[in-house]
Amino acid sequence: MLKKDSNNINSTSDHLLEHLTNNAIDRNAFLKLTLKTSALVYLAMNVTGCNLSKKAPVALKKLSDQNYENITIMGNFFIKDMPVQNFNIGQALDEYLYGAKNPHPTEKAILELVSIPSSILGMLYINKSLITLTHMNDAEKEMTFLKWRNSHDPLQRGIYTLMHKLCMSLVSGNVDYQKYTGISI
Amino acid sequence: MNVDMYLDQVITPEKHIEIRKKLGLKTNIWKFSADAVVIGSGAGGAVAAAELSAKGLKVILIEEGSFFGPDKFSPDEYQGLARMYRDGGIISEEEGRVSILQGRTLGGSTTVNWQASLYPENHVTEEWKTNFGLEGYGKKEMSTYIDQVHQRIGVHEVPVSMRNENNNVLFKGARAMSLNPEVLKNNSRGCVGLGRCSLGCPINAKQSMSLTYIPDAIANGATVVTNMQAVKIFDGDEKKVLAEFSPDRFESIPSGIFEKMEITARVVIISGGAIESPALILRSGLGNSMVGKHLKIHPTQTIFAKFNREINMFQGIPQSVVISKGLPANNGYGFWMEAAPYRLNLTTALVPFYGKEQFKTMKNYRNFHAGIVLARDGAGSPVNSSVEWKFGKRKIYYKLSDADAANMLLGLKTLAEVQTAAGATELILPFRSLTKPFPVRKGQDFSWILSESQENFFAVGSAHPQGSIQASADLKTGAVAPNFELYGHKNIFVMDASVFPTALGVNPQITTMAVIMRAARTLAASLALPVR
Repeated sequence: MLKKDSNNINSTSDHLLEHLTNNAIDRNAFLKLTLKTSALVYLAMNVTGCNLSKKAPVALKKLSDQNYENITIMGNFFIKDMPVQNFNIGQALDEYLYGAKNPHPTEKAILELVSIPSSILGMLYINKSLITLTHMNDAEKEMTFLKWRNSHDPLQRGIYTLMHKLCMSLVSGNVDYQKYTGISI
Repeated sequence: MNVDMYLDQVITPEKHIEIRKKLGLKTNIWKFSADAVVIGSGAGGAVAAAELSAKGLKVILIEEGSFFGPDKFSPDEYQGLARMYRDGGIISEEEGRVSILQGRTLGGSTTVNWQASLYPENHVTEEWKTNFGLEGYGKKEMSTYIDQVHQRIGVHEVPVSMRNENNNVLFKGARAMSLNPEVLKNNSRGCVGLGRCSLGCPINAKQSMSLTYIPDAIANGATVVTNMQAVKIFDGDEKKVLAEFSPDRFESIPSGIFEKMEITARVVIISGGAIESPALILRSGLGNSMVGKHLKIHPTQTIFAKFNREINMFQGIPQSVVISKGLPANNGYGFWMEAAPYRLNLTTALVPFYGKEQFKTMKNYRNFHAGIVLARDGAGSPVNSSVEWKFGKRKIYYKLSDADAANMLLGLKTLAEVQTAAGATELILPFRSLTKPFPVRKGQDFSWILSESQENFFAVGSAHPQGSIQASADLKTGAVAPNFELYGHKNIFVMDASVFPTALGVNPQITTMAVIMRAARTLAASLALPVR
């Protein structure tokens, strides 16, 4: 029999899994299986080219095309209707991370955050869904961000706040934005 | 004292090649032997280095960040955050609940702080005595040390003539509500109110560690090396500290630098602050199970208030008013309020809207007043928080207790009333459910704020991490003994804000300096090393 915790008995998915495997399986094994399957799907998509990101339309120092697309997705929500022309959030991130002589101290952490929109594993962990933001239409993307904003899940709220902070921080380095707010450095 | 003469002796990366030649070193590893090595140059480390060297001990002070003279302090917030703050200005809690600001430069946070100079009330230090066996920290008992610190770093009340409009708003609103606003003390000499404190004072008015205790240590013969991050400490009769070169992002790396340092010493003083000190101890495999536990942060929330005139909160002396009526006299677990001189980057990140509404709101930036509520965390039960070292990474966990969240909400309600009493027309409250500024009028009822949940907090900030290696006479409740020696490790000490066993309830720089001065002076006297 499937081992069940006291909070989650008679779940349909448990019965389905039991039926499929004809074997008892514990919850940890089930989670590991799910993660491994997701990793294989991710690998397969990358190998077969199903997950190829769009080529960035601008020259970048080091930011990958995929991360350019990801930060653009975030920017299309957080800084939509920005009253400053010619601000490219992908280029701003590229410059922020790679525009100085030496590496950014938290480059890895920022890239982990930026990778979320295209990461199957990331979206599975955060959004409990295998569908990435890169595969959603504009309305679905907006609904996902709004869901995270008002979520009861601290992780979803936290990711929203960090993405907001990153986008706003990138905008604030823009001279035209500074002028818009009445500041000139 | 000719500060420049001593600061010229700070060993910055471009001086490495000269030292290699002088010492005839062929390798890029600098082996250094001292009586004491101090790790970190902030409010704790700088004072410890000055005290130990004053007693004739051979001291080396290493700092992970860079040294910037006044000519290199840029008004560009974007660049300043990236090069003078830990993690580029975004130290994030693992689930994104909290962001912490902490300096990472010569002088640590004292180089970039807002100068508030306070010492805790006696109910705080009584708690240290009763619950943790830490004696003699009351204001009167500590007055010798507090007075010396005040004198050295130029602590004085900010004159009314220098109070900026951002602080005036707080003062007027609090007075209208009979909340007894008090004048804050700052540490500066010759301040003209440029408002650049958070990016380093370009006229050397702020008396940070890099202008006071660090030159003192050098004058006493200490060696000060920047851009060296301690990566591991090895215990033994003779201690060893391994450090690695840590470059500034915006400067070219000179040729012939030391990529590593191996420092041997009888005594190690860890003064990396409440985030990095526990991380260093944990990755070195030292200390008991209390290392990293009970991090306190003085969780902070902001309300921006829009006025029908320019406030220009970023101009002038950052903080000159404090309202501490929300800290109960019996135990001090409550909240206090100050003004915040946010520049554009932090303001843009803290306004909780998105898209069109975000930018419509930010158009009024020059008309914003920023008030902050700081909670003395630890109400009810110890806060559920820690600094950990897992899989080669530093991790920070922090969650407000329900009692602390209730204090924070009461503080936000009071601050909203203060700002409204001062004439605000709109408030930008830090709740994620709000999608635009909240119109207000005098006498408005803000009782609804008390029933908000902490889930609705948009972002909790902090600039006062402390207490993650707390001191106690009982090793079950402390990571260091009352003399701040790491339990189980003779002659390895922690000397920074990590040692406080409870949150202070005041901005921490003066307490850190005074408490560490006392501990370092006692240590220096006890080491019985020959005076050179």
